[in-house]
Amino acid sequence: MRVTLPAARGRRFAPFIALSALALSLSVLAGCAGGASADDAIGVNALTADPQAFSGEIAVVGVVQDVSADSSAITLIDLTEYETCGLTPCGGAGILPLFLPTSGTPAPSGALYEGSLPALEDQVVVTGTIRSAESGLYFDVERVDRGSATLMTKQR
Amino acid sequence: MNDFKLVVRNLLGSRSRFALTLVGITLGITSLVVMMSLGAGLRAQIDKQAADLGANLIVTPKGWCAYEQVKVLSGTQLPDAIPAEDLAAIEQLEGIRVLPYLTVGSAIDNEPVPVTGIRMDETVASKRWSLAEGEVPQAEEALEVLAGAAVADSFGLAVGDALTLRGATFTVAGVLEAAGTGDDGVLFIPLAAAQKVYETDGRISFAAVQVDDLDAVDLAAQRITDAANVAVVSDRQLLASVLSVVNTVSTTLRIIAAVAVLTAAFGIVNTMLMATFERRREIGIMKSIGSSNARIFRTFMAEAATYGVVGGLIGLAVGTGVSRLLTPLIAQNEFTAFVGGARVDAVPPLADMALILGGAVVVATLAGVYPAWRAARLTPVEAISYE
Amino acid sequence: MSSAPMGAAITGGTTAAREHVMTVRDAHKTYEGRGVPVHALRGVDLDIDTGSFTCLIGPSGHGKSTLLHLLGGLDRPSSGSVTVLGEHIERMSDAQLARFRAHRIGFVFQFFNLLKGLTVAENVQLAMSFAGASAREQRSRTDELLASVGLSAKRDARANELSGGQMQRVAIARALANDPEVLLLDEPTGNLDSASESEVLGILDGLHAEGRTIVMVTHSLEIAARAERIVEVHDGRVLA
Repeated sequence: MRVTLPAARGRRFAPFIALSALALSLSVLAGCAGGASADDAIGVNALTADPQAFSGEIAVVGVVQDVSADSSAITLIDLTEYETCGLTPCGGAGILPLFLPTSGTPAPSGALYEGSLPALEDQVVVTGTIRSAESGLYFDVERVDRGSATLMTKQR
Repeated sequence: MNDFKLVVRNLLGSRSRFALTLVGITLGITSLVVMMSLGAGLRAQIDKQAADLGANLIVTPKGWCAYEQVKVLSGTQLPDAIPAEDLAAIEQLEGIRVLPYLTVGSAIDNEPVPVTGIRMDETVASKRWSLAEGEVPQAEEALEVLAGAAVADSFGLAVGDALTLRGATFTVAGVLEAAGTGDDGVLFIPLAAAQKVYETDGRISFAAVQVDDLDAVDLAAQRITDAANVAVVSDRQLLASVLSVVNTVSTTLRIIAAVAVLTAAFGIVNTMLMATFERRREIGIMKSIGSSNARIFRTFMAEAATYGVVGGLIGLAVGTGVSRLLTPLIAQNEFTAFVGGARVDAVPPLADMALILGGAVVVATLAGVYPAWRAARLTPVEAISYE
Repeated sequence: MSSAPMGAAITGGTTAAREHVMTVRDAHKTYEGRGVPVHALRGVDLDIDTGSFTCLIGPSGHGKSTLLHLLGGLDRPSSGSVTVLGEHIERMSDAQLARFRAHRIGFVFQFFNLLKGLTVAENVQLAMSFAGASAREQRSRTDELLASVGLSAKRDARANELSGGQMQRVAIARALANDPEVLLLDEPTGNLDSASESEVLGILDGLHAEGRTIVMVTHSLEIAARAERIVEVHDGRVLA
């Protein structure tokens, strides 16, 4: 009379379960580690602290705090500010205004853009260069990305 | 021939099964070691940072989101929102020493670096910093930089180097010894110079306040809020809120590890039940030649416990090694960035290691109880008659 | 090599001349089959004389092995009494039975007698370790025993490297390890070729000559003929 213990069938799987548990835990931690340091993008607060200190093309990560479709303008706030304080950051936090017209008056750089503006609270990465104009410093945007999608690019 | 030899022979009888089960518990213990290192390391880091701040009270602008106060413990850029008059009012109060901070930032080679304006001599004394080279900037408005050890190292900064901060040229006057806190990554400049260059009109980000009479801390806090439109939090409150987050993280990590260990324990139960099943005949023979039930029980328990000992030892060794490799990677997340340290202790203290090993043995032994009981319970006839 | 005694009488019941080393009175053994109770023994009465060589014969499944197990203290009767060497088996606890088996009974099964992970010497020593023998005692006695069954050369061989006949000889050596008064064997040669069988039976004859009590279960009437006495077990009862 053959007796098969129920546990006997699972014998092979025990070490794999342990392996999976460890793999799972490591990936959970790695996921937590993703966060802001995943990209090499610069935070909005870091940029606005000393915009002149950045030269050449840079990538800035931020959250859309305000969208004005009429004036083709958005403002970005720092991702960490957004995560801790929502859309109204504590007074004095950096705000990055971006002008992205698709037609009519061009941006200070003289560029027009194609694509559509991001939505409120979107996390975006903006690639461009800090330039100075008569009115002061502005961010000359090349491209606006949200995740793996490109929302806006300069018209050529 | 003796019981010990018998246990060893039984374990090594099936090499692959022995190895597989051992892998299970080793992985479980390894994850436990790694998780505990992370948790302990984080806590130690925070304790150190808080102790370093050397303040009994932190003065912050009113209306900050509570979590932001965590950033006080690192060099993170914070809004300059406390006006000069408020600072002056607070400094007038007796029985306290006020250290103001203006946390701003800049960039070197397009990499953001924290910059903090401080009262040089007072802060250096309060935090007990020591210089690796150069000297502490003396003049209040000197365009001079005192660089933290890590930032100096990252960018190869030495005394005499020039840096442009907010369009003004600063000279590196001194480089600090490593403090083991977030301060290592900060460029420090005189407060007045910072306020001027960053055009903050005398404002500061926050102030660390030391109270002379430790019994009067709450009273001091009250007097500060009476004197100025600011919020005051005690260092204990600050620590508590930070530590509660760390403790949650740490607990989560430990739960994950505990699950891994439990899984390994079930692996042992599995293996031992298999052994009980496969060795029925042998158990029958042993009983027929005079082994008592107790002896059979002990033999199986000893086998289970051995998995605990061997797996525990290997797990400790591997876990320590893995901690060393992984913690720099895993520790770089948003949370540890807040507390300004990716440096996490790779090795759990000896007492913890002994505890882990003991735990491994206990868990493994417990895992062996049921199979050992089943084995001992087999009557010789049942075991022998097994077809 | 000894010859089988001719015309061994088939008897049941008692023999007046010698003491009884084993006495069975009205022994019943019932166990659970697949939900149906199986009456393996239905009231067995039997006496075994000290120093005798007895064979239990009978068809398969009629209770020979069960009876042997009771005689060896491997099992307890469901009712009735089994007295071996003055001890009431049915009254002994598991621990007492284990000690009893260790010191006073030697058992040899048809197959799987040895722990295959151990060497020949270790298998023999194992029995001695259960009786509390010291390491030195174990070593010297093992050498003696292996010599007596002609397997000194195989001392350090693993049990699973031996032939069937060799394994059975080691099993006998092991059964004798603690110098038991009684040797019980359940079809010891059932699995062996005729040459090995002769070897084993020769050893048994020798042991009998030394005065040990031997009870053996066998299918073969030929083998049974070598014994002093044949007991037929049929349908759970001993035939008178």
